[in-house]
Amino acid sequence: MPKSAPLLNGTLDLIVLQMLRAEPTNGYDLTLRIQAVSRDVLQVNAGSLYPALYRLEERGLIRAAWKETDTGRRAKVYSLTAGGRKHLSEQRATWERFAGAIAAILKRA
Amino acid sequence: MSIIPRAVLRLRAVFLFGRVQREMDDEMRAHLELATQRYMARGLTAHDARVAARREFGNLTAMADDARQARGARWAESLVTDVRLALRGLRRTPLFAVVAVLSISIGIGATTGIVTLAESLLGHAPAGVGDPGRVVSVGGTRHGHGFDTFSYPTYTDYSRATSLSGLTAIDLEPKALSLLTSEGSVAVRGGTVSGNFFTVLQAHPALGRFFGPSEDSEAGEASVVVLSDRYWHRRFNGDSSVVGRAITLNGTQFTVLGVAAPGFQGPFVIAPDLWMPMRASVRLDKSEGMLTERRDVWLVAVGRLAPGRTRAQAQGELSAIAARLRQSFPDESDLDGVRVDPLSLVPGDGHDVIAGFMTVLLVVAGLVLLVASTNVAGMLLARAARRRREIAMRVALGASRSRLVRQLITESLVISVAAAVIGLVLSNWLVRMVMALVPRLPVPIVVHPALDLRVLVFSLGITLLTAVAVGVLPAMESTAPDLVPALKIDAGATGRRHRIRSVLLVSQIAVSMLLLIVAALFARSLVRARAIDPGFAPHDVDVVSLDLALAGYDDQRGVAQADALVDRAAHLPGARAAALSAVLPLGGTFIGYGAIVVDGRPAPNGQDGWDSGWDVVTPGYFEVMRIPIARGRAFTEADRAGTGDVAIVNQHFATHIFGVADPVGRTFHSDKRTVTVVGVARDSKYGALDETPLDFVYVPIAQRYRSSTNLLVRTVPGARLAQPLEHLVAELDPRLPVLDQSTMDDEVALSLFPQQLALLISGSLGLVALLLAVLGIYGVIAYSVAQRTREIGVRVALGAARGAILRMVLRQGMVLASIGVLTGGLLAFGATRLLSTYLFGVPPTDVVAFGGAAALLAVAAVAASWLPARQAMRVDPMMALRAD
Repeated sequence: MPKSAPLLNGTLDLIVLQMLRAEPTNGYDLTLRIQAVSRDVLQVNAGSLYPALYRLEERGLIRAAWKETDTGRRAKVYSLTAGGRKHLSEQRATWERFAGAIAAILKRA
Repeated sequence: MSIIPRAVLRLRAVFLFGRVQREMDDEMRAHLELATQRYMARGLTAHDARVAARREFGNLTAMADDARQARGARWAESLVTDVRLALRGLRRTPLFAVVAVLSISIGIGATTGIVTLAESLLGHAPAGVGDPGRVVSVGGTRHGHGFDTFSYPTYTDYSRATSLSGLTAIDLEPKALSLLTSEGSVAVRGGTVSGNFFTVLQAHPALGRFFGPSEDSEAGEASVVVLSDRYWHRRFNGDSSVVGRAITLNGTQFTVLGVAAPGFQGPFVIAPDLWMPMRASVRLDKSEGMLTERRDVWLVAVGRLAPGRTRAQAQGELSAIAARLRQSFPDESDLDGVRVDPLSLVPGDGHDVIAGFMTVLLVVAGLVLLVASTNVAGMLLARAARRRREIAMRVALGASRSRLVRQLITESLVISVAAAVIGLVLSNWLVRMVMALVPRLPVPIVVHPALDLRVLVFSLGITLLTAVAVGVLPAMESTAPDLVPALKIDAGATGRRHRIRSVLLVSQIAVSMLLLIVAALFARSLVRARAIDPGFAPHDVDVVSLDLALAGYDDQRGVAQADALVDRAAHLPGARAAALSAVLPLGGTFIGYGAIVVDGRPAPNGQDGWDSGWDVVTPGYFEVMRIPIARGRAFTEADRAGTGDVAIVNQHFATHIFGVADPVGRTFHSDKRTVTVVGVARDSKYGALDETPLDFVYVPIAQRYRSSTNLLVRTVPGARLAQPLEHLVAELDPRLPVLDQSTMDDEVALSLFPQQLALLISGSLGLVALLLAVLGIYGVIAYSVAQRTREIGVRVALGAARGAILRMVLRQGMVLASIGVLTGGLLAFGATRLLSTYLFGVPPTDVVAFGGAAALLAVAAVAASWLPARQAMRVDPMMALRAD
C-alpha cells in the first residue's frame, strides 16, 4: 500500500477542512462532495479519508458526533472547530502562496 | 484542543482499543450502508449495490489498520500482534523454544535460589530486632582471627564503653534443659542472656512482657523465662494462659513472663526455645563462678551504637579496653583482641566463609546464565539468517524497519519472560531441595529463606538486557536497508554472521569448560573427602546425646548411672557394644582441661603448656568406634576415682609432645593433676575430615566426670536403635531427657555437607552447560553444512571422497571446540585458585579435573558434529547443484 506523499497528505487535510467549513457532514457524503466539487478529478478513497478525519479530530481541528442522516440512518457527522477554522485560513494562505509560486515557475519554464 | 484532551484521546485509543475499534467499525459500516443505498437508488439490485459499495470502499482490513494508526492505537495493538507472532514463531520451532527458555530459566533459577539461600543466612536482618543497622556484634579474637567468647567480667568492662548505648551478653550455644511435662521430661534449648537483652535489641513481646536488667541484678534476681513464638506454638499450642504459669526446668520452678514476637530468635541464626536471665541460668547450673571468673570464657555480646557514634568508634573504644585488660590480667585473659562487626545472623569468620562459598556458587550459576544467553543469541542469529530473505521481502513490500526490529526483539523478550517465570519456580524448588538436604544439625539453627525479589528482578534484568542485545544484532542486520544482496542468493553477510556465531560458540564452550572443571574439582574433592579414613568406623553407630545433670545427679551418682546406661544399652537386641563420649568426632566441638605440662619438654613460644584436644569416655569407647590401641592398653573398670589418674594419648600427641613413639608409663601434669599415660590410640579425625593431625588425649569418665555426654552404640549392620534407646533412657530415669539423636554416619555427612552442596549445584549446572555446548556446536555445524551444501556438492562432483567430507565437517567442529576448551582451560587455570579454600585434598589445577573436562567436551564436540557431518557426506551432488 503506497503511502501518500506529505504534500498530498496536507492537501487532503486542507480539502476536508474546506468542505467541512461549508457544512458539517459525514464521511460518505464527504467523499461524494469532494468528487463532485473537484469535477471527478479527485477520487478520495475511504482508505485515506478516514485516517485523515481521525488525524484531524485528534489534532482538535474537527469534532465528531453521531447524528441521523436525511435517510434516517445513523452516521458520524464531522464539523469544524474554532481551531480548525483558524488552521484552515492559515493553511489556505500558505497553499495559495505555494500554488502561486508553482504556477509562476511553470509559466516561465 | 488543549494537550490534555488530546492525551486522553490517545490513551483511550491505547487502552480501550477494543472500543475505539468498534466505533470505527460502526462508522465504516455506516459508510458502506450509505453507499449501498445510493447505488440502489440508481437502480442496482441490493446485492450488486453492496458489491459496488464495497469495491469502491477498498480493502476494509488494511484501511482499518491505517485508521487505527492515526488513532494511536497502533502501539498497543502491534505489541499484542508482536507477542502473538513471537509465540507462533516459537511454536513452529519447539526445540528452539524449549532449549532457549529452559536454559535461561535454569540460569535465572540457580542464581535466584543461591542468592536467596545466602540472603537467608547473611543478608536478612534478624526478625523483630529494632533498627538493626545500629546493632553490632562483639566477639574476641586470637591473633586477629576468629569470633571467640570472653568472660562475664570482660563483658561488664566492655559494657562501660560510651560509644554503645547498651551491650548485652549472650551464650552463643543455647543450653540443653529438661522441661518437666505430663509425659515425662523433654529437652528444651534455653538461651542465656543478660537482663538487658530485649531492651538492647528493641524487641517487643507478642504476649506478656520481657524480663529486664532488674531481674538479672543481684537484688532482683528472678527465675523467669520468655518463650519463643515457635516453641510456644509447639509445646504450649499457642495457649495464651501460659503467661504467668510456672514451669519446671531441671527441677527448678521458672515463671513464664511472656512470648516473643513471631520470627524473633535473637540476633543470630541459632534459635533458642526460650530465654532466661544470666543469673538464673548460672544458678541453675550451680556455677555462679561463671559470672566472676575471667577464666570462664563463654559469652559473646551484641551492642547498640549510641546516637551519633559509629562502629569504628566502638571498635576503637573496645580495643582500648581489651588492651587495658591484657595489662591488668596478663595471666587470666587469653584473649588478645576484640572485634566489633555489623550485625549478621552468622557472626565472625563464619560469615566470611559462607559468603565466600555462596559467592563461588553464585558465580557458577551466573556463568550458566551467561552460557544460556550466549546459546540463545547464537540460535537467534541462525534463525534470523534463515528468515533473512523473508524479512528482506517484507522490507521491500514496505514494512517499516522499526516495526520489524521490534517484532524480532519481542521474540527474545517473550523467551526471557517465560524463562523468568519458570526460573522463579525452579529457584523455589532449589531452595526447598537444599533445605531438605541439610543434615541434622547439633544446634537449633533456624533460617527463613524467602524468595528474594530483588535478585529475581536483577536476574530478569540481565536476561532482558541479553535478550534485547542478542535480539537487536540479528534484527538490525536482517532489516538493513541494503536489500538487493539479501534477496539474491545468500552471500557476504552470511559469512560475517557465521563468524559472530562462531565467536559466540567458542566463548560458550570456554565458559562450559570452566564450569565443568569447577564441577570436576568439587566431585574429586568429595570423592577424596569420602575416601579419607576418619580413623574410626562411623557405620552402624547410633548416637544419643544426654546431659546427666538434667536428672539432678551429683558426680558419684552420675558415674554410677553412666555405667548402668552403657551396660543396658550394650545388652539391647541388635547392639554389639556401647560407650559414652563427651565429644562426638567431627561434631565440631572441643573440650579442654587446661594446658599440658611434660617435664623436660617445654612448650613452644614460651607458652606455659601444650595444647590438646580432650575427650572423656567410658572403657568401651575404642571398641565401639573401632579405634585401635597401638600401644599399652585401653581403659578398664579398674580405672576409677581414687586410683591413679590415667590417660590414653593419640600417636601424634606421643611423638609431638613426648617426643617418643611409646610414652606408656610416662606422666604429664594438667589441671593440678598428674596423669599417667597407659596407652596410645591410633590417630583419627576429631574436628574435621581435612584437619592436620592433632594432639588428643582421652581420660576415663570415672576419674573425670562430665555430665554432658553422648551414648554411642555399635549395632549389627543395618540395625537402628533410636526407638529402643529412647525407651531405655526414659526407663532409667524419667527426669532424663534425650537431647538429640543421630548416627555417626550423620555426623560424617554433616561435615561433608558443604562439599556435597557445591557438587550438587556445580555438577548439575556443569551438565546443563555441557548440554548447551552440544546443542550450540550442533547448531553451528548443521547451519554451516546447510550453507555449504552447494560447495560440498561441487567437491563430491569433482571426486572428493565421502570420508574426506566427513572429516572436513568433523574437523570444523573440533577446531571450534578446541579453541573453546583451550580458552576455558586458561580461564580456569587462573580462576580455580580462588576455590582452594573449598577444595579437599585436590589442587585447584588438578590435572584429572582439567583433563576430564577437556575430554568430555571433546567427545561432546565429536558427537554434536557427527550428525551434520553424516548429512554432509550424503549430499547428492546433482541435487545440491540444482538447488536455488
